[in-house]
Amino acid sequence: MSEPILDVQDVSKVFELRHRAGGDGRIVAVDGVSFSLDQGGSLAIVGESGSGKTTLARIIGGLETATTGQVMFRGEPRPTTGRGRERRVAARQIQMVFQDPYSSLDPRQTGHRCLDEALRVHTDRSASERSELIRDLGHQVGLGERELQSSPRRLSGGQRQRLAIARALAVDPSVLILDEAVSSLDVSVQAQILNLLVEIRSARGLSYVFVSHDLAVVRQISEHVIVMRKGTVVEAGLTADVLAHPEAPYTRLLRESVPRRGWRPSRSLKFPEPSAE
Amino acid sequence: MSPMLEIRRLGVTLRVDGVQRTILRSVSLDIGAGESVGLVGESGSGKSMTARAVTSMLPKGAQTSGEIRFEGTQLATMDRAALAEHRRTAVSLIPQDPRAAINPVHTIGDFLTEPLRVVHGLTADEAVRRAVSSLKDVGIEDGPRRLEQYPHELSGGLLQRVMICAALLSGSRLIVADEPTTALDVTTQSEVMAILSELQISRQLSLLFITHDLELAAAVCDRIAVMYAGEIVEMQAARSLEDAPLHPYTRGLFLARPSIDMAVYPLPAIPGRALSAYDTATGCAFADRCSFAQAECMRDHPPLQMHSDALVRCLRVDAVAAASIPSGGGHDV
Amino acid sequence: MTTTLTLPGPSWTRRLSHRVARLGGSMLAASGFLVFLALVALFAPLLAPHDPNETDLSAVFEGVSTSHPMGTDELGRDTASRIIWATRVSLAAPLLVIVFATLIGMAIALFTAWRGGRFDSVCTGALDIMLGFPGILLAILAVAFFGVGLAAPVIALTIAYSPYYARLTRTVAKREIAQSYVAALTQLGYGGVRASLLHIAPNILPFAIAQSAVLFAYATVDLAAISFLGLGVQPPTADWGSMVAVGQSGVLQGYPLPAICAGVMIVLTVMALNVVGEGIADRATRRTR
Repeated sequence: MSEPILDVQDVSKVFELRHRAGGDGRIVAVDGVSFSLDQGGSLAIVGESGSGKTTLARIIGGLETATTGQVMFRGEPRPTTGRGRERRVAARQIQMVFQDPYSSLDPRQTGHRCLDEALRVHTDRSASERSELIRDLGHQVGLGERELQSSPRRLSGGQRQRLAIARALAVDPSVLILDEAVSSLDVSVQAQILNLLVEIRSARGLSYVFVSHDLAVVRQISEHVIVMRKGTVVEAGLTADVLAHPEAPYTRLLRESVPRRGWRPSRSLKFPEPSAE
Repeated sequence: MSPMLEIRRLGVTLRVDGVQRTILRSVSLDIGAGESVGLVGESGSGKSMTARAVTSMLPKGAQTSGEIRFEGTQLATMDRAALAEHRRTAVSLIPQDPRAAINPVHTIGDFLTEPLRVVHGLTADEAVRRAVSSLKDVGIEDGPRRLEQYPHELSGGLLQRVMICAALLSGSRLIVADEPTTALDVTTQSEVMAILSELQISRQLSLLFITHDLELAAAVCDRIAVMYAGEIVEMQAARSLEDAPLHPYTRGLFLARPSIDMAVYPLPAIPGRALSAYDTATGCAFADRCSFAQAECMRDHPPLQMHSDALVRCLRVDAVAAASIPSGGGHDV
Repeated sequence: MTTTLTLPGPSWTRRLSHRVARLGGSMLAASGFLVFLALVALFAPLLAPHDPNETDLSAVFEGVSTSHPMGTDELGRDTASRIIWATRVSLAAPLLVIVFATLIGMAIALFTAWRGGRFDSVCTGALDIMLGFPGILLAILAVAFFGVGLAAPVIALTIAYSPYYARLTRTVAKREIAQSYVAALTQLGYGGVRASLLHIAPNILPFAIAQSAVLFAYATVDLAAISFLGLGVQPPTADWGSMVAVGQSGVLQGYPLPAICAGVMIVLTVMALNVVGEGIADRATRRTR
């Protein structure tokens, strides 16, 4: 069995806050999280706000550095610093798709230019080769020539996410981190994008880290899941098992809160309402 | 008994980029006393605009047609004073983002007690007592402490409960909740909706619940109206809607939603994307995304018609009703 | 699969006239005035009826006439010609200040916004301290050191305005950096310099330009004041500020026309710049929604 493509080892992230009048100025966003992801696998990180899932995703994606612990990519520690070329080469292996389709694209660039830029930075292809690659990418994510030539302002949320996915794919990564990537989309569009993601994963042999608060979406797209609450992992395992037979009380509570046929909302009995942060 | 709220052929156009665009086409809806009605739709459906029309908070430059009657009186005929009274005491809005609706430099206590003192003439002490008791109703036990706090010290869920509290204190008979839980965690959502629903039922209030979440609406509403491209395409009792949706769009929405119990590939997605009223051409607004569509659907704009106990805007409703709904999806729509 | 109706777009002339028509009346008037000034500056030699430096001591302080549309000054020079020629200096100097202050300020803003953290706090503090120093004082000091003329005040004002500029632009830069497309750029392997130059700077440019217009107005007033004090432009070069200063004696003698004409030009220019600046800022904020 080959090594996992991604190995998160005891990662913690502590934010030190300055200018705090009285009291402890630290926030432990992620507290000793470990998990591993096999090549071609899909793992979901589930949690609500304050769980630390987004911070963890950003650490894996290289946008933040862990305070302790490390992220191993293909057995090597993932470099987060380093200059120029070294950083670029390291960066492309793990790409992210963000939640907000409206702020994740440079409003000044058409889709074509955006993808062209990504290709120019990471490959040595000629202009005509790049054009063809862009057309292919567009085709794979379901964007036609006209959409690619439009300013992002003219595209819908779903189309923008497709473009964001295309951009992530342009540099030929091995891992895709999707941070609530379908949460801002309409239900009908969400289904389309989920289908697209499943398709791409099998076509390209990608590995996914899928961050979400939506259990149904998680069930749809991932084989493994870790459930986070206040920075720690409360439960982990196969998605089918964890969702069908949750063991941790929090996971049970989460499952019971999802609206579905025959469901009624109820006041939670187990967890006291936190006042702030 | 006449309905509390009557919306008749409501149309709204807005000036966008210098052009008048239709946001709402002809929306007709009744809400009876003590009834909860869900308005479900995606982007461009016009559901938020309907909420704003009902609470008389349409944006500047909006032109309306049709009429809205509240307890028999037309909103359009109300003068300034009557309208102000209407907004204060008859209808309450629970917005999607409570932080935008509460002045951050005033305490919760100020927010809740000011209308009581100014509008209803209570003394400061009476107002505080009423506020604390009302906070208990929404599940906030340590009222006196909360009244001293500022909005930023409360979580989103707590703040929404404060908004519900304000609605209750105002004595409103109609509560319009515009995606009140969209920004909340799912566990908090469950809590807030439970409180809202319980209070609505126990106090016989009317509720217009706007959301994009069909299952959530089905759980708390008596009736559901599904909107697409600025008009209502289906309206029936929540239970029977879940059992047998009659409009292809509603059906598509149910099917497109992934299930927590089973992964399915491909998810039956509705092709294309949701339109606004001003994007539509002749014929049925949903026709080009509809698997039941035929030539007549492209030509004729379907009227809203009765089909057993439901109202449906579809020329092919019989075919839709006949099609069975796969419980887990994974087949062709 | 969607029914989006794509109609053929209007021609560029239609679009331009539509855009112009959408400007408010005041915006239209203000920008029109500024364009007019720019043209005057450009075509000064062709427009001026006389040589601005040609003195005629027999025609001192004359009133409005056909050969002298704005009369003459204390040395018999044609006021109108001097006003026209002064447009060049009076606009060019503040323009230089603005362009350089913009570049320096934006560079500082982007640098400190990108670095963030403690570096950012320290930098912001330093900028705040520099803000407290009035530009005009710095200009006067510069003149004391380096002598009269425009070079010293322009450089001094550039230094004085940059922090103001940096502070304003930093807020916008920080907001832009918080957008997730910048995170995506990092993912692409971009460092701060590349991301800033290629992506962030162009996106905050509309705000930057809005600030420039207002600061242009300030710079105009400051430089006019410098010239008024006799520290900037030296005679016989025509400049609105110095014309007001020199025209003081005329006012006392009962011949206010040269001073008034120059003064009015300053006021109108500053007003127009303010209106245009606000208008651009409005458009910029509206577009980002």
